[in-house]
Amino acid sequence: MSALALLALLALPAAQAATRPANVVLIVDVSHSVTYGIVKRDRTLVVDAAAALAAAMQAGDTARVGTFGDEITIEPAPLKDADAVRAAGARLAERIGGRSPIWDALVAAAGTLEGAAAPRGIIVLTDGRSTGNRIGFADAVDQLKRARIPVFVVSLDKSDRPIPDPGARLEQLAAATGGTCLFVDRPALPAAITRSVSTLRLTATAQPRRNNY
Amino acid sequence: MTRLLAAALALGLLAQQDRPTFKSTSRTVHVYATVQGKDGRLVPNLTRDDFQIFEDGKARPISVFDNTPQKITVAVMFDMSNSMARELARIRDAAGAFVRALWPDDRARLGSFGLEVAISPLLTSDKPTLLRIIDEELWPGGPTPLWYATDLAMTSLDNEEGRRVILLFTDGEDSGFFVPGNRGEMRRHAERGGFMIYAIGLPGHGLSEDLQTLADDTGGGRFLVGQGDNLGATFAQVVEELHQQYLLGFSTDLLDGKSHSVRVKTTREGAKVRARQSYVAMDGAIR
Repeated sequence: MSALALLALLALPAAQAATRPANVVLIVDVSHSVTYGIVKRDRTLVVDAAAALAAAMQAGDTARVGTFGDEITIEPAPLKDADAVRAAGARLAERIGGRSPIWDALVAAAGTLEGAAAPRGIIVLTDGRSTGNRIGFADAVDQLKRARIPVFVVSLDKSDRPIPDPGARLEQLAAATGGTCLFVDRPALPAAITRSVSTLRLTATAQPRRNNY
Repeated sequence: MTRLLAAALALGLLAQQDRPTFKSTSRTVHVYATVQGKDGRLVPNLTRDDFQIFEDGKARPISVFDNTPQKITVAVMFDMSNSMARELARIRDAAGAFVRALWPDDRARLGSFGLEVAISPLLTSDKPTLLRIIDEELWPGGPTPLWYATDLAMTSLDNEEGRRVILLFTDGEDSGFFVPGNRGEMRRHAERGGFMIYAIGLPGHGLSEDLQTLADDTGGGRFLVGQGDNLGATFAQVVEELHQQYLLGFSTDLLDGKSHSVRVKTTREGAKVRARQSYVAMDGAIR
């Protein structure tokens, strides 16, 4: 077998995964710490995130869009076309402010993926400053691992690594579930979501890494 | 026979409807009192006869008295504004000491204010859960929306029975950023709900006059901790004080929706009483 043929064989699972429809849940942290600036409110965060997800969708994909703040709201039914995803983002645009139940929202999002085929996963947009959770970090990671749902984190807290560092738990979460963690600033948000969706498509056969939190 | 039975039932019903109903408007105003001796120590084992209660300046018979330890229902709000960032480790230690000092029947809800005003949905006796929240949910940074945080903490306990306590840990005054903190509305909420407000302050700005007045008016307490002092011991002291309070009560027929003054005194020489200084005579249960 030629080296070229061997390479092609190795690349096959990834190529197959890339052509299979993906099931994605995008949840956006709309808490005070993310959306309330000194000067203005960021009311377009979920709109922009949903638009980026919509642009990355392929035929056969399903997507849900949700937000978490004082309430956790996730689209009840999977959306099958890009326009519906954009519309869902627009519907959720006014829901900003409140606390940051990141772990509760992830477990709720995982529940909507029960029974969905791989590739599947959650993209979470957050700054990692978790507050107001019913479930702790370790319990949430355990549940996500048991459900075999990778989490792709897009963190908007890029500036510096404060003490304590909210990004540390986000990295642990992504590593433990087989996802990724990207730290970006606001303009780079759409590109980070596109990249997360692309990586998610390749996770059909991926196994989560061993628990290291 | 059936007709007779129906007639009898109908008569019975009529008789019931004709019976005049007496509805007492007399209700009980509960007052939790902390008694300290000259040396500042809590004074235990007082009896009903050691107390006097005055409503609008008039002595009232004490209809409720209990000197057994009362379980605590408390919402604790930690100031996480920018100025507190360097104190985070100390605050976490102190919060842990507070949780460890709670008794099995006590319940606490933890929250913080800074970049966010966030309060846990969990009101719980489970210490591992409370310690987990301290470890995972305190993030320094942002302004000091003190009044909004106080109001939110009270709202989170609005439907709880018995004594309801708000414990604020802060180093500053309300900054008014981000969220509409209304001091006047917050004070009315505290009085209407019979909340006890406790405040622990760090050196620097200390405790604002407004916050001190609020603590005094509601029968709570206020503590200013020095730079080298044991913050955890102060939090544990609040728990001990709450367990040592006396429950008193008096009946009132007032139903005018207005604020009425309350004074509690003790005949024990040299001892001082801290208790709520007013209540609102609203329809329904008086808190």
